[in-house]
Amino acid sequence: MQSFNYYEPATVWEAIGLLESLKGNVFSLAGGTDLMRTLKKTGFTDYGVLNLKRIPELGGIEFDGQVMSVGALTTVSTLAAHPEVNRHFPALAQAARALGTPQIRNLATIGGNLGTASPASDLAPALLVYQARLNLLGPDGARVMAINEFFKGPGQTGLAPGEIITRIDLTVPAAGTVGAFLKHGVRKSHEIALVNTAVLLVPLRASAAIAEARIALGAVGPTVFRATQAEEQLAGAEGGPVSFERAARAAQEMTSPISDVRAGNDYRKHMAGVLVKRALLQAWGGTI
Amino acid sequence: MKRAIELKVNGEMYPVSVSADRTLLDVIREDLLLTGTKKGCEAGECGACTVLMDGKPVNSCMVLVMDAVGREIVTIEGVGGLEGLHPIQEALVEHGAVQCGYCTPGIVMTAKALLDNQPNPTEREIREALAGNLCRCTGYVKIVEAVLAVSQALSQGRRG
Amino acid sequence: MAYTIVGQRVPRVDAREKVSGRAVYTGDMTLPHMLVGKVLRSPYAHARVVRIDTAKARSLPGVKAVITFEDVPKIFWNSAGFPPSPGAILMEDQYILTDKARYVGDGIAAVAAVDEKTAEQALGMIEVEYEVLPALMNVEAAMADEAPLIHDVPNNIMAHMPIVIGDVDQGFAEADMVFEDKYYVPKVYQVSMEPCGVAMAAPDMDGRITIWTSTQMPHLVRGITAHALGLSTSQVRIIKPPVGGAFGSRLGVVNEPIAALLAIKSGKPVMLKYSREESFLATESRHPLTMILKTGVKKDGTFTARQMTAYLDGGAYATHTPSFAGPVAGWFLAMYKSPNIKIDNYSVYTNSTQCGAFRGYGNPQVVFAVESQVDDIAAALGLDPLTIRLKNHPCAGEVWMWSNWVIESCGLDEGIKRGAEAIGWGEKRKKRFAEAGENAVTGTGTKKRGVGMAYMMHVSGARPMLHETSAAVVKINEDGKANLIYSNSDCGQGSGTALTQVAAEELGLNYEDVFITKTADTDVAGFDIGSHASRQAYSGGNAVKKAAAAAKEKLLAMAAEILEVPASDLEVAQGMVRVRTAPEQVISVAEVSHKAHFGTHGHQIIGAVSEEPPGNPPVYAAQFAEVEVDTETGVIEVLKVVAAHDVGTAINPAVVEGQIEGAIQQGIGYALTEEYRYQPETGQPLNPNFTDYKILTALDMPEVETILVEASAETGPFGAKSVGESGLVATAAAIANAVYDAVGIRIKELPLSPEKVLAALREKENSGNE
Repeated sequence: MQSFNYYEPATVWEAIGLLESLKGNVFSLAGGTDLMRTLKKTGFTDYGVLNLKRIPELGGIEFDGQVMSVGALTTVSTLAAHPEVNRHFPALAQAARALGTPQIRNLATIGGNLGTASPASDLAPALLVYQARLNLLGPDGARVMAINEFFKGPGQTGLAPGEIITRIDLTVPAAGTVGAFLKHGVRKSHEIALVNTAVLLVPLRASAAIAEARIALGAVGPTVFRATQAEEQLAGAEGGPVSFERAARAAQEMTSPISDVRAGNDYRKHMAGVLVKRALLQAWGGTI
Repeated sequence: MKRAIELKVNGEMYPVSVSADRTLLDVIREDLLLTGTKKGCEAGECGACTVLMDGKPVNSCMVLVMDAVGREIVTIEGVGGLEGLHPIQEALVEHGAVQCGYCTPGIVMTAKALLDNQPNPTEREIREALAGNLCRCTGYVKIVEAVLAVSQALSQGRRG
Repeated sequence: MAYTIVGQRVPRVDAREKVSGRAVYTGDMTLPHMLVGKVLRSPYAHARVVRIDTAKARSLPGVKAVITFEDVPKIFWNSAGFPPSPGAILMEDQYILTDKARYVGDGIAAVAAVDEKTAEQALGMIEVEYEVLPALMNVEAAMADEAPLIHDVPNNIMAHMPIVIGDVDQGFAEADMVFEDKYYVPKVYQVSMEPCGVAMAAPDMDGRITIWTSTQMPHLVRGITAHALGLSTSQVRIIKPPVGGAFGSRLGVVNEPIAALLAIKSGKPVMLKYSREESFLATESRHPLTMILKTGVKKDGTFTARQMTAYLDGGAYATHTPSFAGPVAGWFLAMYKSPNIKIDNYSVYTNSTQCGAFRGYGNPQVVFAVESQVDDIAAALGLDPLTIRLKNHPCAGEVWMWSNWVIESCGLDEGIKRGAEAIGWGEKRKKRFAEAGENAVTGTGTKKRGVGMAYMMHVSGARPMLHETSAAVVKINEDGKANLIYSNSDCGQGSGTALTQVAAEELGLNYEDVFITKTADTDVAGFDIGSHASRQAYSGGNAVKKAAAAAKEKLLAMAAEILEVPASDLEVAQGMVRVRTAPEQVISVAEVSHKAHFGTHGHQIIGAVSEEPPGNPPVYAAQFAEVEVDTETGVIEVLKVVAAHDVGTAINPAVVEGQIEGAIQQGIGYALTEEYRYQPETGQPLNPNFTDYKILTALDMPEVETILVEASAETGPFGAKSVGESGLVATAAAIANAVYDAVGIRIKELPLSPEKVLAALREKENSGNE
């Protein structure tokens, strides 16, 4: 039996070096809320943990009025409470408030949430519609990956071996852009989404028409994804119940949910349509 | 392999020797013998093990003890005792909000963090704050009443 | 009648130690050289152990005991905590560990080691080879002719309980309308926040063993554990520290025999704590029931015949089930009057974890079915749902068919009246199916509101089904304060507080001056059958009140001697004995007691009583729910619950309300979100955790308004009856009936999940279009 190893790098480069030398026999600890459950199941024996929480460069939110740079180790509760996040990226703030419980939100991090690549991630749909750019760092250096290229399957990401997410960049959408995040679960809190969705609508200047729509869905496919067919339907269309209903149906068509103890696939599919329609209406016209 | 670390809990430094796979919850309970923090699920789902880490409520079962080094930990034993109860504790007693008591230490910690940061929460905000503390005895009715009452009393005290 | 301490919202005796985290629960304890126990569980729902090899585990350093089926006494036992009684049908079919797994999680082996990690490692080193058998996951599969036998009983039917009163065929023939419906209620868990299954056992040098355990019934657990181990009862001592919630889950033996056997084999104290997952996997739940109800009614709402055929899914072992069939029949029998009643209860083995007690003990199941159907009957006859219940429920002075005793008091009619007023019944029912709650999101009015109600009656104890002895000793110390020695099986409900109030009231002492034994200890307190059947206030209270009265009698005799007046002229209140007609002639209880201890005939004033309670008065409740159904998502939101409960005298109204409020959280969960599920072919549990077994959070709970109707019972201590279980009995039915009022759908299977609601709405729409 291997003994359990624990590493606490102080810099990103130290972390990258350790990841390279340990060749995958180590879990990166960002928030730990998923990792701890995994470790408890596996009995802490086969792997070590690389705690990224002591690396200052991975924290903090920087904002220059146009681009927001969120450190990967930013906790979900920090995100939820941040005034500029709430002002410029309301769907992300709403998603952060919908995740888990208050105690979990104080531990879970944005980078950890992305790295886990859960198909039911609450943050991922919001980050998809804001077209987040992920700053990655690995043995071969730094690169930037668009978030829509990041998710490859349940628990599978575009991270190369030894690579970590350092920061997430978000650009403030065009003036007048509206967004919303909705999550459907059995309870009002403390839920893993049965379905969730984030939407973003960029209005065409001085008209009731939509210049651009972005719609992302979670928990209804192997990864969170953009409902591009629904987005295309809305581009140039007039915003309102009729076009939103049509877009919702198009989004629904793109889902491929599973049946499990939480819900049947039919119900998930149905709810994907309802949720997209409601999120579009909420973003466009009013409040829930 | 054991590591010698120091934990700051309830303002006191505790030197302990631990293996790195231990959780903060286990070390608090088994090494420091601070058993007021309860173990209800070991999966971050019930809130019975809630402690404050740098002032914020967290599930101590979800924290590796190594990760707690250098942080301020407060457990239920650090909130009130023989020398006197915290107003939140007094309110829970007075309102009959305690039944089996197993979730109660976690509730106290969460409520304390809430009122420390936001002295005048609405009922909705109290319920949102407590959503990670499951209780099976009270239906939360008297717990919410007690927290509301203490926040009102505190704010009157501040005004007066 | 006005009381001084009874009826007061005094703080609980254990509140301060609990809010400060100082209360020491079983799982918080340690003893020198204490070992940690762990259980190896079957991964299969139905399998024979063909080979088991523990050699490697035994040789692991730090392992002090490994036990398997080979090591357990070959004594069949039954984990259910019943005193030997006419109504206790105890089929003994359990061993401490088994060589035939009957559910996923059945105990195959156990180890005791120096620490948890070593114990877990040892479990992984035990080699087991299984012959896997077909898993029978519901009663239909289990009763099939070709089904393999879980135990050696034909068709896996462990018992059939038939009851016939009158002639139902004739009753149905006389009816104007006959209703026949099938209902199903799922397996749900009590989910105390302290996981069920925590015991520490320590053998001593005199052949006895002490077990600290989170239990509802120290004395009965002592007896069952001793029997399972082949010891005599007094060789086992049970100590019950504070318990982190129970709700029936600890109503009998949980894991005490395994802990004890590991302790005996290792010669050291052993702590055996089940994880949350294990407490789902391997401890008893509420029974799933399939109920077929047939009811004949006259146009005016009179019931001519009532029939129930129920299939009780008992799971892998008999435990409570054949006895439980009795109360299931009792609840049905006693709810509504009818000259003709027929009941057939079948108790069936399946390969799910054995079922046992959960708050209400069959009543929530039966009330969901009966009250759903009565709601349909009222609708079909055009009667107000309140009217049909007021017309048919048995009242005070009539025979209560649960016990065949006369009903002492009944506050149901008042409860229905006050509850209806509080929910706004009259005006809201008039708006049936009307648009409500304008939906700002869609503007299409997808949310519909409705109100519904259900009634229930429950027990204040277990008589006459069970012998239910309680014992209390009251001793007055030399400072005039008193100890109440009682087998205090308070699991958080507040019974220890209520009994302290009863003792103080009877003694004439201040509440703060009476100290109940917070920890129950079978070496100290007299025999008591524990916390169940909502019996602590009435049955326990009876013994406590009488013990206090016996002490008071001796106190007054002593005071009479000192004051030189007849004892009959004296009264005692707030710790002072006074001459009734001359209040200036006064002496403190402290002085009297001091004289008793140290006067010429030195003795302590002690009152002791052990007896069965005089009766079992029923309690009643009418619960009302207002719901909002989202017709697009199927989500039901409960907006408000009004719970009007006749509890007799409320000894401590805050405690009583707390019982009802907490039970309603469980009742709403039963109605909407809670269901323990298995993979139907393999029997693997699908949700043994809090992510997917969904108990409601603070955000999910609606407004709860509690109305106390105090129709006191003459035989109850200060008129008290009961409250513990009744709070959740009617909740699910009230919600189901409110959903019917809101959107006109009748779902006969709990929980009322969004998926079922949507399916029912579609079905209704389709049938409407035909």
